[in-house]
Amino acid sequence: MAVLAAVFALQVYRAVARPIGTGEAYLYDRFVRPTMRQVLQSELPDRDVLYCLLEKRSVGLFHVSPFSVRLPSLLFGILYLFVVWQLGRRLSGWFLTAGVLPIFWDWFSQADGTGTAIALLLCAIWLAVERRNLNLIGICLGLSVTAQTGFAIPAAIVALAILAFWWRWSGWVDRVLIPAVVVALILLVLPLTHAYAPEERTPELTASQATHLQSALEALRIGAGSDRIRIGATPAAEPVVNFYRAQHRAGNWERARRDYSSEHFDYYLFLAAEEAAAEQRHLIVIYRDADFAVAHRSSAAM
Amino acid sequence: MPVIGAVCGAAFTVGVCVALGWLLLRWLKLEFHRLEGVLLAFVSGSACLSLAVFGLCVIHQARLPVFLAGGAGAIGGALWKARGMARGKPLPALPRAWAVLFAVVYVAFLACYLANALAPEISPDGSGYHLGNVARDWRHHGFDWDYHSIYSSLGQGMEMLFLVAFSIGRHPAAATVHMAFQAALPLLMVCYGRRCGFPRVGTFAGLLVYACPVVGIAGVSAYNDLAVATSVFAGFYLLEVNYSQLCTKSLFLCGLLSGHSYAIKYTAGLTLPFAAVLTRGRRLWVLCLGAAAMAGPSMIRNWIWLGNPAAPFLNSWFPNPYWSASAEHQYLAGLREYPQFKSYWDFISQVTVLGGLVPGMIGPAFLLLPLSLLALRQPHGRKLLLAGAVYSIPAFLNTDVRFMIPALPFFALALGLAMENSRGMLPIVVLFQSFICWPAAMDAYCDPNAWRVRGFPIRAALRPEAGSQYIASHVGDYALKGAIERAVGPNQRIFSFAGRAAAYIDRDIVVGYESSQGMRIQEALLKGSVPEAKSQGCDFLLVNDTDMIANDIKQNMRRWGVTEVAKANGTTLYRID
Repeated sequence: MAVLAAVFALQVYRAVARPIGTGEAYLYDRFVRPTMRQVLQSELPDRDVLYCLLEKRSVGLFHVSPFSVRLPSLLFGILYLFVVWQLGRRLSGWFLTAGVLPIFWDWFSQADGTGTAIALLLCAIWLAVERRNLNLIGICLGLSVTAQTGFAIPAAIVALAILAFWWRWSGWVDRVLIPAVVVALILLVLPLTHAYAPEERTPELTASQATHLQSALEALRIGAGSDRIRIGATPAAEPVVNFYRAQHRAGNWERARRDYSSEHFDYYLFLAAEEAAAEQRHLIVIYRDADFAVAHRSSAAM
Repeated sequence: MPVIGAVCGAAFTVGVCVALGWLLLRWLKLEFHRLEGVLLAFVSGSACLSLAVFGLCVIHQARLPVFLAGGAGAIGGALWKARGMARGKPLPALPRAWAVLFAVVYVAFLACYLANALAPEISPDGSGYHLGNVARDWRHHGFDWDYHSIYSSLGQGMEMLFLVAFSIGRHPAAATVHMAFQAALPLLMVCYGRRCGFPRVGTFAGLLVYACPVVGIAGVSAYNDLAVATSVFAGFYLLEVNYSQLCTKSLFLCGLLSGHSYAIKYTAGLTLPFAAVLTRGRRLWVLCLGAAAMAGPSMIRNWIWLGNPAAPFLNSWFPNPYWSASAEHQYLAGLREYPQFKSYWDFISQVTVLGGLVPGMIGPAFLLLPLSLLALRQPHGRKLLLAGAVYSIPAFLNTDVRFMIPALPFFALALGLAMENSRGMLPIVVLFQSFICWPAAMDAYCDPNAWRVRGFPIRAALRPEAGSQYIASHVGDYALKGAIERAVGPNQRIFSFAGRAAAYIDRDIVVGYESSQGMRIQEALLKGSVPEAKSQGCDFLLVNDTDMIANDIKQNMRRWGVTEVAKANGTTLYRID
């Protein structure tokens, strides 16, 4: 119990202290910040539908911050630890040991649906093992798929495994198959029928890049002051810039764009390795570290 | 206020239907429970009224006093017969929570549909040929034997009911009569569920179908799809109720409904063979007798009038001068042609959720239909799935989503049966479909051009000036109504390449693809020979800017021998000099 509490405390700490990652910022910027109509019109494929709905609620309650976007994951972390504990008691202590391995920690302190899906999938397994609240099994499996669509196959495998153990077709249909399909359909039908746009490729920042990016953005905020500015950023940094803009309510910043080569911006956020491009464009560099450089056009209002 | 006329016209028509049906059920000595008795009386009475009006149209006595006198007689007779009679027994009760759920969802959608039905008619086919035929019949107090169009030779089963309502409340009254069938369908499904021992399933399926977007928009328009669906379902209901002991009178009524369904829409002719299969051919003659009583008059009319009892189809079997087999083939091929879809999933999402590339959609909850196969475990489920499969056949012959409507009640009931034992799933799906198919919610996700109910047009329904603006903003041809009626004499004819809002234009319009005469005029015009077109009985031309001859005729009016009379919304009216 003490180990589980310690693991949870560590997860909370990581959720508060870690700078926002590209994937987390991308999820917020593309699917949580816009209205539902805007999300559907953008036609981007959303793979973390349930998580986005929960994140929207969390952000609505606690405003935009790295912690608020990770809060739903953290809460599902409690469910995960509880289920691991229950399964450990019921099946084997090894289960408990495996369940608290550090490999799982990240999933419950980052803002995407993976942790939620794992917790719900494990919850379905626990309910099946305990043979209690059987109606919830299908609902948990369905919700797991809606939390992360990549869990469709694992959820199907778990459902079939339950059928194999129960060996009761009608009970399985009524309590697992139908609830799972209904729940998944209700939450996924609109996102899936509108997901026609190709997926945007967004390279993930390393931990050190994420930390340096926050410093770069601070420098940019100080440099821009209250002027209305347009920002061009690298594909990996663009969602983070937009997240930062929402977090600090920087209304004078227009939404950052990722393709900075084709347009003129007031400020540019380069990878440090691309600093030569800044020189070619005759930009003035106002910040530089090992990973990023911030530059502005010489005519940009300061 | 036009709305009062519309309500009176629709109420009178529905009242006469119920009265005639009630008299028919009494005459056949068929006993039903309270609510199902009223609903079956309405559906079977609509068949009787349709047949009676058909007879009046043949002898050109379709006049308001005749309708009023006949209707008052039928209502009076029914009331006289009903005096002192005990009310029928109620059906087994609905669980309280389900009764509340049904009442809330049903009333909300009913209010929305009623507001739309009472607004001026703006649907493409409703303002085109459905009410176009009705308006022509009204002008002539019967069938116009000189006017030939594929649409005027169709069954006219529903148009006959529209005619009674139209005589009192004009276009919205007719649409409201169709809405009455739409309102009756879920109630009939609830009765079916209560009768067969699965009341929750009946309620679930009734609401699922009632909230369906294509059912909503087709039901509030002067179409016939909901009348077909309700008649077909009523026929199935009768067979199911009497399955164990096949009663001759009940079979006759079932045959009557089969014939009426055919008279409304030819595709519903499947009802008779399906009923014969369900009864395993027992007392087939009774079924056929009932069907012949309803479908026969229309076939005889077409045989005598056009030389083809199945007009406008089967022209290769019954060659006639009014429409050719090749034109029929071309027309049917056009109906089967789907737009280009990126994938099967694209097609499914269009039909259920988006509704942009196909006209209308059936609602996201119907994506669960594969689960209905689980109903094969039950005898009722097998019959429902078979019925659904049979009534889906027309959907393969026509790309309009509304052609799926007759199959939806059966599939929805089968789906309900499959999900009945999953606790909480039936109400969740019903609530989901109701929320997501509410007009304001659909704005968020479906295609902007999807054919659907878009709100509550109460102003258009209540105020005449707002009503005219409403029609003008949705029906482009309405802007030319005044000019056409001033310039074109009552006996003169207008030619058009495309279909027109004939319901609002008080003159006969010959449409290019709708008859052999139209095709001859079209060919003459495409050759540039206006005198030849005039010799075919065409005095005016309505030309869209997108028509092939539009630019040439506009620039060389003298050479063509025409004069521009009026122009609006990309359409020009020319007089042939």
